[in-house]
Parts: sequence; C-alpha cells; structure tokens
Amino acid sequence: MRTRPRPIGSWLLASPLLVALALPIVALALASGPDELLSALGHPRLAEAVALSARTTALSLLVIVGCGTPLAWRVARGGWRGVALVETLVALPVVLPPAVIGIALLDAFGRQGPLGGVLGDSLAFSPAAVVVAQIVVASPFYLQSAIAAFRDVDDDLLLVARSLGATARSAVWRVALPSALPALIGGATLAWARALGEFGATLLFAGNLPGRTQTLPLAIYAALEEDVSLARALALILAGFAVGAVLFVRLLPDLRRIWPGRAS
Amino acid sequence: MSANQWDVTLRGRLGSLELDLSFATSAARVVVVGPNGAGKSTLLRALVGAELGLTGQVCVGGQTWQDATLYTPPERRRIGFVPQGCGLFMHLNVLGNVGFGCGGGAGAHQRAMDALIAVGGAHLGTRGVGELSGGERQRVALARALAAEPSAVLLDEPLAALDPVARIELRAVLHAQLRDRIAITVTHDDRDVAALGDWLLVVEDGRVVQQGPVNQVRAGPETPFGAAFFGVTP
Amino acid sequence: MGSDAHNRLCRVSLALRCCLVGIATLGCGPGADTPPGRTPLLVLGASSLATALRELESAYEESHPLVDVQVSTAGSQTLRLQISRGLRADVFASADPAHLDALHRSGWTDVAQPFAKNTLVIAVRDDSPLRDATQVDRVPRLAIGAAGVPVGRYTRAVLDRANAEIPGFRTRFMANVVTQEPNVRLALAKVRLGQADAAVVYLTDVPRAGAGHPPSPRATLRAVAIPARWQVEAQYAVARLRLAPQAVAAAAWIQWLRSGTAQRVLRRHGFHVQLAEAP
Repeated sequence: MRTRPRPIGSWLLASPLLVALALPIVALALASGPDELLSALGHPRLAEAVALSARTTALSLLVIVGCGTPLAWRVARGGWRGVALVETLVALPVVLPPAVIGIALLDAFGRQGPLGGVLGDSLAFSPAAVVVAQIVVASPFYLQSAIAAFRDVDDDLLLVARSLGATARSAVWRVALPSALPALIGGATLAWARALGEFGATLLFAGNLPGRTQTLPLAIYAALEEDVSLARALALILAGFAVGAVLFVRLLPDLRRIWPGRAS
Repeated sequence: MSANQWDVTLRGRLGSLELDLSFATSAARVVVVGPNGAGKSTLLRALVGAELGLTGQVCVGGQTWQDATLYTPPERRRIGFVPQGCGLFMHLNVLGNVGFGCGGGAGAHQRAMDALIAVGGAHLGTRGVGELSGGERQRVALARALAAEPSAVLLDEPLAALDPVARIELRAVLHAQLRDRIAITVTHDDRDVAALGDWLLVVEDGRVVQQGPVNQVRAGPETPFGAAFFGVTP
Repeated sequence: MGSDAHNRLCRVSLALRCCLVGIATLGCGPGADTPPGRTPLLVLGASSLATALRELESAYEESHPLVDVQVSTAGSQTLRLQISRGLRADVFASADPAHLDALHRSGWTDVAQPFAKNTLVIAVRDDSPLRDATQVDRVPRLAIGAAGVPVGRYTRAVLDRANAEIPGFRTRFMANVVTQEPNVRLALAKVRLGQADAAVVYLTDVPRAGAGHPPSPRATLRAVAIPARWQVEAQYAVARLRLAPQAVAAAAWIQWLRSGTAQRVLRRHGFHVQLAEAP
C-alpha cells in the first residue's frame, strides 16, 4: 500500500515564518526566572499600568463598538454619497505611523487646533487622551471586520424578518446583528488588542505620566530604561493578554457550539 | 374596491431590467413561471414591500398595500415570504425561526408548534437549522411563514433544491396548506403549476407576457419559452 | 417587539451607564486625578532625569503638600515636539541648553536657567575586560546616543577630543558602533541586555549603591571613567513654559530646584560632580 506523500515543500517554506512568529514569545517566557517574575509582579508600577490599560481599553472598546457598529451598518448598506470617502477614512489609521497620529492629535486638540476652543486644550496629557489615541488607532480593526460582516448579511433575510412583522430597526437587532456576531466579536477583540498595545500616539498625545497615562506599553518602555527584569515581566503580561485575545477569537466558533440554549 | 384577490401594477427600472409587471385576477392562488433573470423574484420582493423604487399599485385580498399616495412597509403587510434558499435564521433553532413572527405573548409558542405540526415537522422542535436536510428546511420555512397568520403567502421556488421524493412530499404539504389561502408561487416545475395554482403568469424580460387560468395557458402558450416549458407547439 | 429585543435594550442601557461612569473616572486634563485643593504641576523632563525627578517629586510634595507634581519623561525630541505644538505643561527640564534656547527664541519658554551638570562615562557589564577608556575603540559592540539627542552630541564632542590626541580613534570607535539610540537609557539597556558591550552614557545613568534603586543581579554594571582632558560637561537647564497653566507654582518649583534640598538630591544621584576615578 502506497502511503501519501508528505507536503515537505510547503512546510519548508512555511517554517521560517513560523519560527519568526513563535520565537519572541518563547524567548520572552524563557528569559525570566520565576523569582525575578515574582518580585516584578509586586512592583507598584505594574499594578498602576495594568489598571490604567484595563480602564482605558475598556472605555475605548465601548466607544468603538457603540459608535462603530451603526457606522459599519450604514457603510455596508451603502447607497449614500461619501461612502467611499468614509471607507478611506476608516482605513487611514492603519497605514499612518502612530507617531504621525500622535502629532496630528496634538495639532487637532492644541490651542490652535480646530477643537482647541471647545475643550480648552486640556485634553492632551490626560487619561482621556489615552482613550482618544486608542480609539483612533484601533477602530479600523473593528470597523473593517464589521463592514465586511454586515455586507455578508443576505438582504432576503432582512426582508423575511420584516415580512414577519419586524420593523427595519428590529430586523437589524434580531437578524443582522446575531448573524454577524462572530465576526463582530473577532473584530472587537483585535481592536482591543491593538488599543492595548498602542504606544507611539499615546506617548506623544497623552504623555508618560505614571498612574495617569502610562499604559502597559509605555511602562515597558520606561522600565527598559531602569529595570530590565521589570520590563520583561510587563512584556510577558502584555504578551499574555495578546495571546489570550487571539486564542479567544480562534476558539470562538467552538465556544458557540457548546453555548447552552443556542444551536449553531 | 375591486373584487379581485390580486390587482398588481408595478413599473420601474432595476439595474438593466425594465420592469412592467401587471396582472389581475379573482383567483387566490397564482403561479409564476419564466426564464432565469426574468424578474420573478423581483416581483415577489416588490410584493413583500422591499424598497425597489417601483411605482404602481398593489392590491392583495382587498387590501391596498401600495398606490400613488400610499406605501405600506413590509411589517404591516402581514405576508408570509419564503425566498429562494429558505432564508432561515442560522442563529435561532427551528422553534425560534418558526415563532419569529408570532410575537411574545402567551399563545405564541402554541401557534409556532401548530404551524410546525401542520407542515409535518413536529419532530424538528429544538434542532439547529444547520442540521436539517433540504426538505426539512423547506418545511420550517413554510411553517414560519404560516405561523404569523399571514393574509397572503409568497413562495420563491420552494421545491427547487429537493430530491424527487422530498419534492413529492412537500408538494402535497404545500397543496394542503395553500388550498384556502391567497398565495403566489414561483416555480420551474410544471407539476407545481398543476398542483399549486389557479392563475398562471408567464414572465419574460421583466414583463408579464401571458396570464390566464392555469389550464388555458398550459394548453396554449404564446411564447417560445412557454411552449418549451409546457411541451406544446405554439 | 419580543422579549428578545427587550433584553437587548436593557443590556444596551446598562452598557451606556457603565460608559458614563467610566468617562467620569477618567476625566480630562492633567489635574484629572488631582485631589481637590491641590495644584497640579506638570513637569516635562529628559529621560536621563527620570530617576532623580521621581525623588525630587516626592521631596517637593513633602514640603509643599498643596502641590501635585506630575512628571512625564521622554526623549528630548519628543518633549520639544510636544511643547512646540502648544502643550499646556508648566516646566521643561532638559539636558540640552540648545533645545531650550531654540524654544525660547520661538517664544515657547522663558529664559532657561542651569541647575545641574553631568559628565559622561562608559558603562560596561561587570565582567567586561575594559578598564581604560583609551581602549574603548577596541570594544566590539558599542552603543551611543543618536546625533540629535543631547547625549549623542556630547559623545561626539568627546570623540573629537580623543581623536585630536589619538588619530584614527574616532573612525575605529564609530566602526564598532552597533546602535545609535534616541534615548540615553536605551543605550544603557542594550548593554544590560547583552546586545552591546559598552555604552557612552551619563555618569548618573549607571546605578550606584544608595542611588535609589537596587541593581538587578543579572545585569550589574560599572562605569569606566573618561579622562578629564576628553571630558565634556553636560549642562542641564530648566525653563518655565510660556503657556504654563500654573505660572506662579512653576516659578517656585524652578527656584526650589536650584536650591539646597534639590541640589543635595541631585548630587546624591550623581549630578553636579566630576567623576575623578572609577567607583
């Protein structure tokens, strides 16, 4: 009996990339000794940075999902002038370097900026500035996922829902949103991870104030200047969150299957 | 007030298709045939109330849903609609689908179960939509349309995706369920025409090219398509 | 509307309420978390001042409980960028008087006042064979500051002086440079991490016993002195920003910085002294 030939070629090509992806995480985990990690875990800066990152990213996510879902719906439905412009706007923060976004935010909210008068230029160097920077860099990740998911919703499904008595808005809530939900959750998770890792724009626009604007990435950078083992511990924690987020998105379909009361 | 059950005039342009769909009849059950892309599905969607930009008048069962001054949105037309591919909601199970249009009140669950029983799908209850066969999906889609107690039922190629055995079974179910209803069915199968319709429309290129009692049109088709469909030389 | 939609609405309103609470806890402005009655004072400092500024912050707040000093450290270029964009900070402390002069000329700050000096050393790991600065051009991997950064410019000035004495020194040295960091502390980190074998940094950057932080056991560093004839003096200066929201408090803090208590703290961190011999 002839055994199936193994796909050696594609694995050979794939392995360098696999190694490049896995190496940083593995090296990070191996570089710290357990006692170093434990002592670093008790550092006050760590608790401050984690708490700040948690609060700001939660708020950013809320705004991104709350404002982004209706926007994505409108863009996906199309049929109005300026759809193409909005889609370009949505893609912009992905291609702009974070430092550029940081400078742009300083300009936008500074005294001379368009919003200077409204907010009295007190936004920069505040925790709210952290949230703004995170929203700007992370929302494309949710929006693009949501727009694609909403575009995939069959028009006929909505029509059926309406024929059964649902208003247009009710049809969106009861049919479009649930069917797009896996993609929405995936996009939201990626946006959250991006917000969590945001550095360049935050440093420029929100500053590096421990306890107020020094998020986890900024804390890692600051720790690198003084205490490398603390930097490693923070980096491991951040990596842990990121890995958790990616795993969550990956396992989502399986989770839905075992969710009680719902059938796939 | 017309004595017709169906009094429809729809005109407009959709994409590359110039539509002029008009028919009127006092018969309750209408069947629609025609080549692909002729506008049959568009006709159904317009009757459901989708905003396609078509002008004209739609009167069904004595109710005016659309005319020059009036436009009733789909949720107020009380229609049962089964599109091509069934249009089942994947995130709900069978009962969730069937009961979608029943409201939330006390009798909702019972109405859903009754509709499911009527189409022969009582055993499907809490199954997920993804686990159903083609015939079972059609039953669920039909039950969902009927459970909401519609004034009219619109079916788009309900038996197209079924194997021959399932087709015979479902045809019988449809025949029973549509017997006393105002309904319009799009089909590619001559046997459906005989079983499910009293009035026949032949739609080609966005226009109703022939309409009349089923037997009359079947015996005397006026277009090449009709001739090929019914196997009669024009 | 079924119970399904009703539940969803409840969840949405709950989320909105959480959102409002969240916004309330974050607030706006540097004074956001400042307790009522205290004046917030935003100090922008170069990275090399980070450790010292932390101690200066608590020292000042002890004697001035009504002031809440907030310190944001970053590379000098970042800080200069933020200030010239109209950032509403109070004080800017920099390792580079030229930066401050430029800002003063463009009207962003008041006249800069010197408050400390620093000197350069070569930082190596404890197990390094390097004992003599004149041999540093033979060290395989060197880390220095980038040309636009204060420490980078001071380093190049030292190299010029060395080159006048030992021809070819600068060329050999630069040939071994593996990285030019935008931030002096990062150059040091490269040595700690083992990516470089020596770095030209400030004397104050190399941790000393009692300077305020325990050295990590795996990365003990020591400083190799640079000969006095090659040495340059890094002059630190501080200025109040024209747009300072707390102009009076800022002036008071600057004055304090140049007075006894603050100067003693700075000296303890290694400023204001010339390194005569290797510790």
